Amino acid sequence: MVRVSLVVTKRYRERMITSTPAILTVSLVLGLVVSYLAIWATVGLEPASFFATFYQTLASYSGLLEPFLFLTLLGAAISVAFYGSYWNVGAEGQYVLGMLGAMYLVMFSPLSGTLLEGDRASAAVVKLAAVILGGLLGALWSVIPGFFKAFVRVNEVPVLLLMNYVAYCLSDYLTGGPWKGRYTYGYIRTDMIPEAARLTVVPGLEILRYEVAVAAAAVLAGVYLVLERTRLGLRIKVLGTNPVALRSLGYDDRTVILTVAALSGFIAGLAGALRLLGYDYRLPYNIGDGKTGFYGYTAILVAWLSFRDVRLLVPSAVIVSALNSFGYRMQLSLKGLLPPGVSAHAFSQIFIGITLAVYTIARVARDHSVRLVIER
Amino acid sequence: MFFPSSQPVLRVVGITKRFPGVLALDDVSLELYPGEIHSLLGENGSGKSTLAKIMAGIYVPDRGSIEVSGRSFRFLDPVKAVSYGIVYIPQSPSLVERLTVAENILIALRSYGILSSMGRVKEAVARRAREMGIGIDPEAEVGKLSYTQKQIVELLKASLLDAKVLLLDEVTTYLPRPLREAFYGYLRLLRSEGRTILLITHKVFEAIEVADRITVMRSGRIVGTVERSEFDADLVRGLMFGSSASLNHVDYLPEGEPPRGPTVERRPVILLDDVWAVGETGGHALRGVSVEVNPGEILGVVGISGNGQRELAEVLVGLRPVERGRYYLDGIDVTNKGAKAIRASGVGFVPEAPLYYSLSGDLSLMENLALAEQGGGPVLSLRPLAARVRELIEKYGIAAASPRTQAKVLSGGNVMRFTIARELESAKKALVALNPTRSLDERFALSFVKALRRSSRLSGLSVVYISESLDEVLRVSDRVAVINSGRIVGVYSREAAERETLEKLMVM
Repeated sequence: MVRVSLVVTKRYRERMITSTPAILTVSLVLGLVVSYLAIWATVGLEPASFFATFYQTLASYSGLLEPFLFLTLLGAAISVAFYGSYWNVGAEGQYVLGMLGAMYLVMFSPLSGTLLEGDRASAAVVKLAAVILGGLLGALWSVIPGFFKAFVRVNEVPVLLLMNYVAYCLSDYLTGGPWKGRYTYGYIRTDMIPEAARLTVVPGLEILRYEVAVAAAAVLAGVYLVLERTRLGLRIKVLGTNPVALRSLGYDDRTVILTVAALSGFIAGLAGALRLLGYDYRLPYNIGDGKTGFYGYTAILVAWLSFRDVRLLVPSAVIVSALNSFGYRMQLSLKGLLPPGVSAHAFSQIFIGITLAVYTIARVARDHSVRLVIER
Repeated sequence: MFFPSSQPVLRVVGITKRFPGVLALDDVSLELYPGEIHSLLGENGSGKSTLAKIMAGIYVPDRGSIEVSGRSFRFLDPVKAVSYGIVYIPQSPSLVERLTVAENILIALRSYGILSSMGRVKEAVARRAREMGIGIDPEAEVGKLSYTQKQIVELLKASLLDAKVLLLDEVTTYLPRPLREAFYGYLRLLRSEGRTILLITHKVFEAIEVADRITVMRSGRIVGTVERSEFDADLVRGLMFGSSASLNHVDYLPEGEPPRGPTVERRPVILLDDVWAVGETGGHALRGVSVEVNPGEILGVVGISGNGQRELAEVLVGLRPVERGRYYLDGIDVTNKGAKAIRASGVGFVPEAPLYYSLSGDLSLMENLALAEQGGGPVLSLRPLAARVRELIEKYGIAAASPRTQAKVLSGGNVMRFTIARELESAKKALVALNPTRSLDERFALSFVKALRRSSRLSGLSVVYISESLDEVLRVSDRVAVINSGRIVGVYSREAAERETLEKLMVM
């Protein structure tokens, strides 16, 4: 009798990073091929138009670059927290708080007056202050559940989730009340922030804001350095892996919990502030109704896909933002071509699902040794 | 005793297994016969556990095959191994704390596809416990049992799985002496039923006491198998440690130990005054403990496990709150000041389970070392750290591929060596050791004891050495305290300590 079995064992190697781009490419290609076959079988769409859509996505920076940068920032925020086993599912709320902080500083604070004077240097200071205030508010929003975790031993996940809705409500309250705009054509929303407060558009690359790119790079490098090269990072990692050891070696785990919560919230708040100053320019009403793009939630996927390796946040953010945009474009281009009852949404889901599955399987396969054993 | 006529019940042939940087097993072949107690002896990291885990289907070998009841396999998986009656019992019990003894056993049976009712399990537990001569309540919640009792539950579990081949991985390390003897009796009973026992151990005397055959491993290879008629401690030790086997292991004063001063300065570094502390189960685990340890003195605390040793160690390092009484370090009151204050005043800790208490298995040795360093800037200087770890690896003979190796990849004995290295180097004033040699082989245990004595003599380190082994405590200590039911029931200077008196106090 011949028996065939698959043997999977974990490889004890140092973390691997080099083969990730290859895995990324393979998963995207497989995702494309399978979803193309699915569409072709259903509507007979010819390859050219399908791949043209894909090419348009890749070629359009607006489709990729903007979500990529924000997902990288938020992914970094969430990753830091995950290293310390602080399950920050509240990045969404912290992101909104960041927007509120920036909005307050450039529109309603005593500093806002300086923006009208047209002095570039002082405008830069105000923008910087707005971003920092956004970060601080994000940190505050994250430290509240952190406090309950550290001192009352309350699980942070439900509290963080609830805080997201509180953030939406707070934003809506301000937008519909004290911050309600006067020049809004009857819509409920705030006024636009002054030109001087907006981030710098990179010439020739209209979708990019110079400050956002710099912030994303700095945050990635900073997070990596903190985790791998500092005692604080070490404490965060021990908190995430063995909190008893942290205590027995004479560290106060509560302080570390609060620190990691604050750090994570700060980065998320920073992303929110950059978003408001660089892209949105105003706060909409009903912000919880998808108007944030739910980046704070999507970034959880980015953090997980990076398998808790900060260096892999970039490819993870690429893949998630590409999936988002391509799925959306595919739906648009299929409109009207599909037979009744078949939803374009299904195809974009097939594409996203296949790509993510292949990427994850390939990553796991790379980190494990898989052997086919035939016994006779 | 040899069994030329019968078929081996389990045979492994040419097994090779590689871990990062280590060849754990190198072309190992071994046969186990029905009705034998076979001891697998070797020092830490010699590959004993790896071999047993391959037999139990937990690890997959890189090369070689496993023959069970005449059938040959490339590898087994745990469920298949159990279906062939091969049961592996790990060194540390893996039980669900919130469930009762009977529930734990029932879910274990279910997970191997054996259906049974609660009533039958309870009955079987009671019967087996009687056979082993121990008292275990099937209704007791596992979380409330002592470590030893949990280990016994693991053994009960294995015997209920109707094991033909029992792979016991250092299980007696955690058993106190009287129970260990009862357990040996039980093994003999199992042997008389025709079952096979592979007793993995690093204790030469244990192997000689119970085994029919001893197979000795060294650095991933089998270096010899000895029959009962040829048993000889020196011969076995020679196989185990190679050329460097000339160990005079019962010597009280190891060679090269500096002579001690005429009088011990009486200015207690550690002073516990009527300390009461609550244990895991809510009752008082410590009931009015008063001890003092002078500079350069080693106080041994001996007792049967579960009498407050763990709690005493936790109080000493600041992990467990003191309910009543005071704790002074160098005359300063540190009662309930927490681990931070105690560690900062120079108290090191060598716990019985370092991966639980003081290391992060997921982090590298470098990072684990950095964690224990007091002070230092906010930025880690990686190069000096790596150099320090390399130094420790060299000095303490730790089998680790590199300073970047994750702690959890090391074998149990090597994890302990690393912990000892780190704490001995960083403890400035005092060291608390809780069953430190349980997972160490004889040779390293001895060199640890030597190192402790040297540090206490030369740098005035005060040591609280908590252990279940009376021999070991007598060998290492200047004074011996006996702990029983959370009380110190006697303190003797080593010269005045009589074995029998101490033993009586321990079981009183």
